[in-house]
Amino acid sequence: MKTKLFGFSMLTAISALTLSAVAFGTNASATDTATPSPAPVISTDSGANDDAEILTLLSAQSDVTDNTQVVDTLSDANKTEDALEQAAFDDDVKAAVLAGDSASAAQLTASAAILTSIDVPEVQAVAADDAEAHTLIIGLPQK
Amino acid sequence: MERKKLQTTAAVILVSVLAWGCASTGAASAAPITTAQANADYATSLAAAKASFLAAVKPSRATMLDEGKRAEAARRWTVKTGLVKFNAVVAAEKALSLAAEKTYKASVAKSLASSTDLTLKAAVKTNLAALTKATTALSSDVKIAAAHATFAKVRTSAMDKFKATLEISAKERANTLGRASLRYKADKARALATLQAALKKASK
Repeated sequence: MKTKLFGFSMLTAISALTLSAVAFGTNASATDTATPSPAPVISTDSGANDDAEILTLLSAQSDVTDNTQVVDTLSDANKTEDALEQAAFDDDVKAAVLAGDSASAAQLTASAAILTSIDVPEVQAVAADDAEAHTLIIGLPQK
Repeated sequence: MERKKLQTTAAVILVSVLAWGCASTGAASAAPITTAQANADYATSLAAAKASFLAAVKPSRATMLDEGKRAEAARRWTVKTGLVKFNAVVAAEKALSLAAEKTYKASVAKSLASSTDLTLKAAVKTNLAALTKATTALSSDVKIAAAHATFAKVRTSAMDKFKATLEISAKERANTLGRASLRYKADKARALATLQAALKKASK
């Protein structure tokens, strides 16, 4: 009786161990059989092209129109005024030439040149600054 | 003795049951993911890295652009204000010459209307001399010279300030970009390492 009981106990224990092993094996083999083996799609990426990729990513954000802005040259009004003054003197010069008074025509031309050239350095400098500033704004990263 | 055997048997059963449980759980957690899943995880990680990179970089660009435009607006306002002051000085100094030109023009018209009137012809010459004198004086006008110098300083200073602002903005942006790039590269490298480890596991 004792021997039978011991035998039964051992049998139960061995069965349990066997079942455990089978269960483990089943799980393992289930995993193996469920694993398809397609070729890695992106695994060849070594990271060597990261910088180029970053530029591409940034390019996707590019919006050139952000950098544009209306540019009205600040010195345009000066140029208009100078042109009006020049036109007034042109009439005078024309009249002098018609009257055959070339000396007066020359004097008038010289006076016109003085009057209309006073702000020329400012007009040119302001226009250059405007253009440079505009270029710098345009040149800000568009990405 | 019998009790001892029973205890031993019970212990064996208990250990077996525990072993079963552990085997099941362990097998589930240690199971390698599939190659397809590894690739999918990698793609997800890469997408997250890219999104993170752009999220870090895009606002910095907008900030830099805003700062640049504000700086340019400030520069233009400063230059415009300076130019208005310059023009005011020049206009005041030119007033005499411009008035002289009008007087000259009127005298010419009168002289043409009465071509025989020598007085009118003389007036034309006198007015031309006054005009010439007034305009010639402008060439050495000290107020205009001072206005030139003042405006040049205003203009140069405004431009320098504008450029300095852009430079600071660009540096800040470059730093942000640098940090984001490093993080992106690290994220990518980590994703790649995870992928390679998963693929290695899957191939066993």
